[in-house]
Amino acid sequence: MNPNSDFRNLPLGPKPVPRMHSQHLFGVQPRHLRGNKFVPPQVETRPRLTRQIPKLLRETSESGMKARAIPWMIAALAALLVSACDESPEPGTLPGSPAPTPTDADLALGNQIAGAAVGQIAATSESSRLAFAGPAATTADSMQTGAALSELGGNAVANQQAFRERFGLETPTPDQLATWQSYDARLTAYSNKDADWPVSLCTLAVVLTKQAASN
Amino acid sequence: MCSCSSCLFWILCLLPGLAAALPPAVRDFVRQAIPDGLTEYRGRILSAPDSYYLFILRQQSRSGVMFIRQNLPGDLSIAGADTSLTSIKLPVDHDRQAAILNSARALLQADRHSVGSPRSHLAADPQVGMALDRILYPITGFSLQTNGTLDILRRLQEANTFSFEPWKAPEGSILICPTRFAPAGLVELGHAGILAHDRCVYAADASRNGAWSRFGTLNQWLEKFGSGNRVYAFLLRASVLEQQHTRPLLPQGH
Repeated sequence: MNPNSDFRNLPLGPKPVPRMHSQHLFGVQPRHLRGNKFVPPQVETRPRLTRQIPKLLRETSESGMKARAIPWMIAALAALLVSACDESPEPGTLPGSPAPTPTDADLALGNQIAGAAVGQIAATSESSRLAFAGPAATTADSMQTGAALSELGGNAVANQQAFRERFGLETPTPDQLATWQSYDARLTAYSNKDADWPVSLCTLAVVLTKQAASN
Repeated sequence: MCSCSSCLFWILCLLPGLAAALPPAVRDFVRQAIPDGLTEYRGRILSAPDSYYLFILRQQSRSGVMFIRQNLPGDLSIAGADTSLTSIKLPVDHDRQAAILNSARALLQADRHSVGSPRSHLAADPQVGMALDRILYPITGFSLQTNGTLDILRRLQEANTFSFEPWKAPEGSILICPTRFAPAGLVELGHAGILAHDRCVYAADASRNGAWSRFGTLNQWLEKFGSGNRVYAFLLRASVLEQQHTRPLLPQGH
């Protein structure tokens, strides 16, 4: 034996028994070491949806769930950007305005406004007709003249004179009248330039009326 | 106080340039930019380094004002236009805009009005909103309080209203096509009216001194005023009756 040799590293103890042999001989399970943990192979099986769906909802904090949610988040973000970049206001979908479903009260209010819009035409035409017949007595200009120009009767002459003074009217001379061209216009249905209805039609109507009365 | 003094300062600075003549380049620009309508030059407003030329613009049944800006190199562009001076937003800061609009107001008030028209309104003001307020306010208590179509649209969008496509609008809806313009032209003045039972549009007619008039069917009105513009329709909610509103811009006696 060499005296310089080191015997401490030599396997001098009992010879280890193979594990398979010990299990076979003594019926003892081999002891698994920590570093060689046995992992059984994963078998890919189609998951049953009835179990997997609640599991997915529960485990949203896991990284796998986050990875699955990213496409949805990107899609939502893209939709938000597209809607935000569209500056053209849609008349039917203005911000702050819910779906256009007016109630009966709203429609009734609209009908009232529509009626007033038509009625305003009648009121305007009536006031313009009065103004044409004689300037309204309530206008500021007529108040300045001190005369109620719409009044007739005993004040007609004075009113006419105030009207002539206000607009600088003068009585035309015969020479001026001779140079004027006649203006043969039929302005209203009350003109006596021509009849509103032909005489034959009126006669026919009278005859028909008499016949109906006699029957 | 500070804003008032700055306003006065700008007015005093701008006054000397009010009565300048219209340069041929501006006249040619107006002819090219606005082929449809009549323009009436009212004056020049200097706001260094730019100049603003004020025009009264009259188009079919509409009238309004228009500013043409000339910058230092001499480039011309349409800076603002609408049916009322108050709704025009110029591309300048607030104080300078207030000074320019005050000068423009003085230019527009220089001429006298026709007999019977309220003296508190400008010559170019077609009173579109005032005509609508005469109908809306007694019924709903709601008032537009402006004659500018851009402001009318903003007011209706912010109010308690339903919005519709114009051809689907129920009776009593307020139709509005706001003024549209581009820096190089064209200018299309806006219009606003009410859709009535007969599916016709009723509104103020600027060519008849703002008289309330019937403008034909909805399609005819859209073809006349909304061909190039976007048209909006609003119906006031019945709950608007419960809201408190200030008095409209109605003339005295209404």
